[in-house]
Amino acid sequence: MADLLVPGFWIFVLINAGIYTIFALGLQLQYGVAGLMNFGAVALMGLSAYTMVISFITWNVNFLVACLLGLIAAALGGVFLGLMARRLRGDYFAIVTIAFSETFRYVARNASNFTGGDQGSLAIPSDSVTASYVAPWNDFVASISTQIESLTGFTLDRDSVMLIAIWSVAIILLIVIARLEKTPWAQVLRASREGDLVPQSLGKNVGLMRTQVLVLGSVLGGIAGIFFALQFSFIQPNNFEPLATFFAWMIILLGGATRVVGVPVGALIFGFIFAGTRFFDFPPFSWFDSADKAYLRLIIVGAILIAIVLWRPQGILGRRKEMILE
Amino acid sequence: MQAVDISKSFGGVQAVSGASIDVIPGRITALIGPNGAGKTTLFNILTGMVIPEVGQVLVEGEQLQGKSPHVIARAGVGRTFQGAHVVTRLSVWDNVMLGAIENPGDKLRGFFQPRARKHFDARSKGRALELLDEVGLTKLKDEYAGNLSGGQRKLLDFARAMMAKPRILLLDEPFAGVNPTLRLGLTRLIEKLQSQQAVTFLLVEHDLPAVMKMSHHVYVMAEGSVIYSGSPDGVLRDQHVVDAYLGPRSGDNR
Repeated sequence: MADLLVPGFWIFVLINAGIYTIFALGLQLQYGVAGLMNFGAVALMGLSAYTMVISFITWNVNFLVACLLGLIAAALGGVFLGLMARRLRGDYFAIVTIAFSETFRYVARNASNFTGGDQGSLAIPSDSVTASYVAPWNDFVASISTQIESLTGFTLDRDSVMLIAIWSVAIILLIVIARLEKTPWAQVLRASREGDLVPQSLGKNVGLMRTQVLVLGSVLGGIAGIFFALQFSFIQPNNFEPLATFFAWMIILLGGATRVVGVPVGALIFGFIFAGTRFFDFPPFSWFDSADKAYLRLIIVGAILIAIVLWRPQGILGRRKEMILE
Repeated sequence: MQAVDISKSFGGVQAVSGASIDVIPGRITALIGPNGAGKTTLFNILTGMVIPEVGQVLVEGEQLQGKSPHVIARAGVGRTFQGAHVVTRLSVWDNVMLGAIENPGDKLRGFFQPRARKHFDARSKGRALELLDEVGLTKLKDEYAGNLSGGQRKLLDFARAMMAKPRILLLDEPFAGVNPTLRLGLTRLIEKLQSQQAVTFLLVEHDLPAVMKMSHHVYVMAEGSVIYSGSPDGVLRDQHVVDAYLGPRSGDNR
């Protein structure tokens, strides 16, 4: 348990939780408000991360512009999902989103000349020996760190600055999305969970709104993708397995899919379980060695998902009736 | 509002064939007919939810057939549903407020116009309260609509449709499953809205006595065609109508 007392561990947990908060927030908007079952959300994260990295390394685009291009790519992915959603509902839409996500990953694995293939961003063709995209970000972080030091006297390492950056963005986004979810626009989308006829008969352009919510959710996924790429300094196709999407699903179901506040709550619990299990040294965790514990956490995540769906469909903070009324 | 020579078939079934109706502005028009006569299909065509193979839908001379349902709704054509489609997972209040049409907050860019939204909200709230009061659902305003009874859902559906300030309101079986007291209240409300606010009504209804009493003009449909158009008094004397409901008399070769 001693490892749990090291600040570095908690910083790692919080950074992960922050990235997942932003990612899952996009899903909360899509599912919790609009009822869209997007099981391919991770593809938008990947699309944005890869676009940012490739445009920086291969096309020598300015770093900030590269980030912007990443978000645009995610938005376009959202438009594509929007087109799918015009034709498909519920389960059928869900299946297409998984296919979309896996198609993205397979392209990333196999278009090696472009994406670096299975070796990830390190193998992206570049002028230098190993491709890297984090230099401008590290410079930025260093300058922030120096400023904080001159202001307060505290020296912050890279991870601490990262933590502050990610959570500042996350909190701003949480506030903006929470407000957005109070607008009549969101209300129309809530109504559309039960079919298009009613909102349409009241003059609401539901098809357009559904595309808008998918684009917004995708851009949130895209922001998370860029932070992910910056935090881990390296991306590879398998970072964007469907498993990551299901982590985000666990987060929103655990926190309560109908409420924005549920997202950070779920993400913090998830972050702790995900990073913490390997440090737990009490039974039953002590029965396993550390390699097995990595798999153990997947079992825990799965068990939690089943338990929520069975006994508390509204999650920790959600509104039960909004989940179960017919 | 006019429907001219509308035809629509589903697979091999001719749901509506060459039906034309003319809804007189500011009046209550009824559309009756046996089950399967094509009334609801015609309703769905008038509101853009089903696209006809042949025919035109005109509102004040403007062609609306083939337009999206939300475009037709914005042109002033409202409707209720046979099954009273309330949004079960929203409160009664939220259901009614959903009806507010041309709400700046419906648009994503409305997010950046908090003032316009507030202003609109303030105006809509008064109207929503009034309508809830008219249909007697004020006490249930914070209840989830999914907890309402069938009759209450009908009333909510009606109030919500009225919230959009339609010039023409299409009511699909407004009295079905509504108890006699509420039914009387609803009849009065429809008559009041017609006489005081000049709302045009077109209603599909099986309750003939109610239809006879309140409507100014009656259309009867059978097997996809309009077989009667005229005053309520003449309906029961019309041989075609009697045949359509009861079947041709035995020995009658017409």
